[in-house]
Amino acid sequence: MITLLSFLVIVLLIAAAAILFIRDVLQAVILLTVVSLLVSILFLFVAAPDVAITEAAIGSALTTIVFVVAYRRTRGGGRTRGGTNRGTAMQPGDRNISAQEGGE
Amino acid sequence: MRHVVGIVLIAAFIFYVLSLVSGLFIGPDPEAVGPVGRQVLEQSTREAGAVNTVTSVVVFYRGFDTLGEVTVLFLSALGIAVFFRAGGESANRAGTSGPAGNTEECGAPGFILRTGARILYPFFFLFGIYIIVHGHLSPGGGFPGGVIIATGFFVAILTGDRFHLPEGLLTVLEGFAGLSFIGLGLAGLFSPAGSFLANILPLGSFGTIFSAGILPLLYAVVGVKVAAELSGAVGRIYLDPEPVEEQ
Repeated sequence: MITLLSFLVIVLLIAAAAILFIRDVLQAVILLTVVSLLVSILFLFVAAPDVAITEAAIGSALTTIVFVVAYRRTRGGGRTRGGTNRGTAMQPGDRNISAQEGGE
Repeated sequence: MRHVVGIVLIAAFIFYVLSLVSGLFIGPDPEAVGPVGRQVLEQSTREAGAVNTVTSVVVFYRGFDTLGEVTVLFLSALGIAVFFRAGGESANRAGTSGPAGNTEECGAPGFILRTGARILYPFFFLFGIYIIVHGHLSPGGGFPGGVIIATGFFVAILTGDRFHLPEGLLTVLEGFAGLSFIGLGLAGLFSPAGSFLANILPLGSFGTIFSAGILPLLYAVVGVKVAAELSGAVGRIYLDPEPVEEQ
């Protein structure tokens, strides 16, 4: 039990830290889902099934949908699929690159 | 700067997780819940009649707060509707609906995704309704159940079938649910208890589906409202036409 919990927490912390430093937006969104799911399992372990259900439904389903749809609708998704900067976070200098790719 | 912020966020998160697992702040000792919590645990089954004490608190003792939450959700859904309606006219002009225009760029949903979604989405609705209806008996309730129905709605969109957002129906359901919540609350004013959201129905036999007075009704109303609002919001965001590319 304690082993399982500590394993969950370690994976949770690694995933949460990875979100902050990862470059690919889509990967970060999926990691956020993973964190949400693990947190909801933790809620279950501390005898809060109501919160666990809500966390699983909102944190890992609805938030992911909204983020992925938003990602797709901004320049990160689809447009620059064939480009080298697909999915990476927007940098100040990137605007010209995307504009060129869009124009081709 | 970015790294400093990251480290601070990680530290805050570690603090949060530690507070969850090891009982550093909230011990397993029931005496630690405080006088209000103890009283709620003792009295809720008699006063509210719900098996799930969380539901008793959310809908019975804090019913007015729930009305406020529902209102906040309504306002945010309204904001999304107003924001995404702005592009509604250009959709008709372009002649293509959102997903058709999008899928050409991002790749249409594949065969497996479409077939799987087609099989799965009724179960999302079923499970959401179950969670809502059993809100006073088992974990769950109106909010998570409504979110699950909204997710099922999105999966239904993912099937790739020509999907028409039933906006009129969603609006009617939303308004009806909101008015029912307030109506049930006002009915309490004319009951012997004489307070807003008082339990006007008999408590019934403890632990059955028709028990706990108006709590299941209120939670069903909340579930319908959340489901309609979030379905509308997600559907509007997803089906909204792509903004015209500025050159």
